[in-house]
Amino acid sequence: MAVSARRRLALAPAFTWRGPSLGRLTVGALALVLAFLILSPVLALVYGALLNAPPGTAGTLSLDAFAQAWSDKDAWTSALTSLVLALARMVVVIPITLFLAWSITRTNMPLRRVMEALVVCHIFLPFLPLVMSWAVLASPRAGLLNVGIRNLFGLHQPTGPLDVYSYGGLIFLSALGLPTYLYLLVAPAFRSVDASLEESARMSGASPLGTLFRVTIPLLAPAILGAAVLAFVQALQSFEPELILGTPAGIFVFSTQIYRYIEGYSTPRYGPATALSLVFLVVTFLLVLAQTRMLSGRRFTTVSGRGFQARALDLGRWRWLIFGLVLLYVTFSTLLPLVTLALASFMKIYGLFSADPFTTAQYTKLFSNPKLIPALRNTLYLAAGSATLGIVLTVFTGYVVVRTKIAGRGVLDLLTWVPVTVPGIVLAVGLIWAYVGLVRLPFPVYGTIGLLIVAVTITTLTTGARTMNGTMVQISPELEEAARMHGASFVQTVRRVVLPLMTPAMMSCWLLLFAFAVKNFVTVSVLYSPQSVVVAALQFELWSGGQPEVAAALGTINMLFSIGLVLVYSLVLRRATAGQRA
Amino acid sequence: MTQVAPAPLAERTETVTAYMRVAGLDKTFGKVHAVDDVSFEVRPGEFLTLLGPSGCGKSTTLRLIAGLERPDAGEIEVEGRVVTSPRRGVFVPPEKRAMGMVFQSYAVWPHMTVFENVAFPLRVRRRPSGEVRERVTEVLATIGLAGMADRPAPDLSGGQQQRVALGRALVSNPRLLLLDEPFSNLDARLREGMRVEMGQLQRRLGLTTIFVTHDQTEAMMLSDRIFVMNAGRVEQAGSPREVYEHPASRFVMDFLGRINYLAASVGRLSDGSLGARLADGTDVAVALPDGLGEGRPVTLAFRSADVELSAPTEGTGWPGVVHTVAYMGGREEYLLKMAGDAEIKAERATQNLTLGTPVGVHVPPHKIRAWPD
Repeated sequence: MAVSARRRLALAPAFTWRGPSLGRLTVGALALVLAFLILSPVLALVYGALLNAPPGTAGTLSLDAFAQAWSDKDAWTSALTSLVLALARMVVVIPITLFLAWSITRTNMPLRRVMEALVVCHIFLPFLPLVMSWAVLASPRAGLLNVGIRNLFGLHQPTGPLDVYSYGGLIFLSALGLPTYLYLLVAPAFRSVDASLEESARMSGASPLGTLFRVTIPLLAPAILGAAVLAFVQALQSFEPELILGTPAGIFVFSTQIYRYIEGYSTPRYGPATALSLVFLVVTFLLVLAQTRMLSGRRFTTVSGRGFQARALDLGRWRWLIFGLVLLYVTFSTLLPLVTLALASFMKIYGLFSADPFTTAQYTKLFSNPKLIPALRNTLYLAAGSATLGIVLTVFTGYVVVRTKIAGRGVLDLLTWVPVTVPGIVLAVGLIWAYVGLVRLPFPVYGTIGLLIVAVTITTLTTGARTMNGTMVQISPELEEAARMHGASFVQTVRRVVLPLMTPAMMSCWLLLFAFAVKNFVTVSVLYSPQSVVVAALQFELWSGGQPEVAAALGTINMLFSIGLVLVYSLVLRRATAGQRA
Repeated sequence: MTQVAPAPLAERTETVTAYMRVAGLDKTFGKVHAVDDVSFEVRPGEFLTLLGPSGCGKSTTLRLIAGLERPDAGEIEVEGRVVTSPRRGVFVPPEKRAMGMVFQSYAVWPHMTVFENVAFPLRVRRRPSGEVRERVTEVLATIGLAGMADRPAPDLSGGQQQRVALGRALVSNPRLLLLDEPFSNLDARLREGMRVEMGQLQRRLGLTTIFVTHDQTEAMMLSDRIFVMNAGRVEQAGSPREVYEHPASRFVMDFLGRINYLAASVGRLSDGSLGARLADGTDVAVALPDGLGEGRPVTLAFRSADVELSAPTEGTGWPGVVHTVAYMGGREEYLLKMAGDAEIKAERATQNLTLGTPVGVHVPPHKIRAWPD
């Protein structure tokens, strides 16, 4: 029977000992901090779009910015390209995601655990190095895959047949990256389907295929639909592949067009950048809103405590074929790029096999780069700072939202959903307006590592809040009630019961947010300055500055570091689950 | 030992051919030997129960019959047709077996209404919609859900979900009904009502039924025959009365009631026959298993419900003292301290004995079983 796990403490737990007002004050203050963090860039963006001067200078209200964007053909083209690309990506990515989720969670495919780890670890990997590796693999002239295919089939053309600098290349890259993100959203739904729901269809006379289409897919329809919309939103926000591969081919999307307005001209064109950002924001916001509307009330309770069976479907002799397909996916999404990038970092000329192609000179160059040490240090500050801040904020909101009945907690919950609707580049533009144009602080903010931390923290809030709320729901309120009954104060209860129980989840979530901060380039792209350069930014500078081999060397180190994070992460998770069993 | 009248069904065996036959069924999951060489026959219209503790292999046996699991070895034959035989390479998929099944979790599809759930087996068989409507309406009336056809499944209570699951299992007139712990998710009051209904329905429809449960009361109430399973094997097969009154093993006896155990050894009684002697020297006239010599240690076992208590003034019985009393409503459970530190549990209709009351304990010798240690 479905028992609501979201029981709330009957007493506003905390604060009875000093009257209820302190609780409300704390929540109020917290809500204000969150609201300021999250809403200030959004509101500043609106303000900036209505101003006819760049951030930080006096201007008057006007619709100039929109007029500029409206009359700019580039803006129109990029918007259209974004939508078409996102649609194409969604169509490609959804079936791949469903196939991965189904084969890993519902079948007896061999090595499912390993395959899942390989699929999921992709989310830790940095964007830029992955994209750069595909420039080696499938560039039209010297791309390794192209050379291989040409030799294999005896083609005498100098280029092709593959070209990663194209629409096809961009779609292909998302087909390798996006499914991981969506897998994490869909897999729990796949796992939660009681196998006896499918078995009873078989006993009722439905074939395996009939069962899939009549029972399994309709049951999962809400989750699949939700994932489809999020796939679209994610594809729409994509930045790094377009920047590296789309720009040389003259393909611009929302995000790279905004970037181009700011970085691509001798003086930044904030007007159209801001106007386009606002349009972009509205589009993603409406999509996410539509998604939550579609899902509300359509979530099937696939419950049942006793008798729940998560039995694997016996694929028979097909299991190795399915395994092969999943392995192929993992090879292309993770293994091949990793090996290629490492290889390219030891080459004299990026991706070109001459008579004596190999050298270690690129690493020497990298280590003598004066920006390397600041970049590493800043990245550490940025990642550790934003992950810590993100966890602190979301543990707090999670407790208030899940466990208390304090009025206004719904607003907190809603606020944590906002960042997912704000594309990284839009957030960055909003922050420029907020901290250069609107809020005058006594010290400079723009270009500091502090601003980068704020920016990345905002992007982590949605993920952090989902994880922390989920963990909080799992901890039975009775554990807290028992502590209170046995004489612990609220603070003692939190310190001795709630936090220790949440520690494993907090640690693994912290690592995830840390990895997100390391891999991210879009949010920092227009916010960093020479003093706050980070690894991702340095990679891009090296790449676009004509040193792709050195960029590959840094990328390889970055990849290895991220894989190290994955290992620590899985270790923490294993500890956590082992602890739960004990 | 008193003679028990032979179970009526035992006579039928010779005249009626088996409806279903299971031979040498074997299934291993990793290191667990879930089903270990199980063979039996099911008669037409019979209500057969696989009874045992969790992990005894009863559910796996049922799933093997359903075709939801493939055995490592053995054969299953229904109405003379082999449906499972790894040796001959025969495996009929579950949807082709025309069996109905009720799952422990009911497995009512949450994305469908009551009607759609029950109609599903007919629809996948592409029956005309007029017939579907007629038959589903009929079944809904049978299971007491008339008028609820358009309810979405998630809105149903546990008991109603179970009725839907049963209706779905019956709607296509299956040849065999499989029930996998169907009552275990219901609360006590509902469970009793559903048991009675299910029993009546099965008898009315004359449907051959295989029922899996760990609840001995359910098994006793509903079954024509009970197979008590343990560690993947059938320990005993027989009518409810047979397995209860003549348990074939210590396990079966233990599983079917609250049992008292007393350590004893084989000894020569005053009348010269062999019997059991307790540690304190008390002699018990009891039938012994064959081939036990004097001095062999044995365990005497008897149900707490078979313990009779009398006032000690009557001068009969083994003397003891009431140590605890648990009032169960119309019934009382006593824990008695006997001479020599032995303890005996006794279940009686209320006798209003108070703590410390001396009593005389008497157990009819034919109710006592002696198991060699």
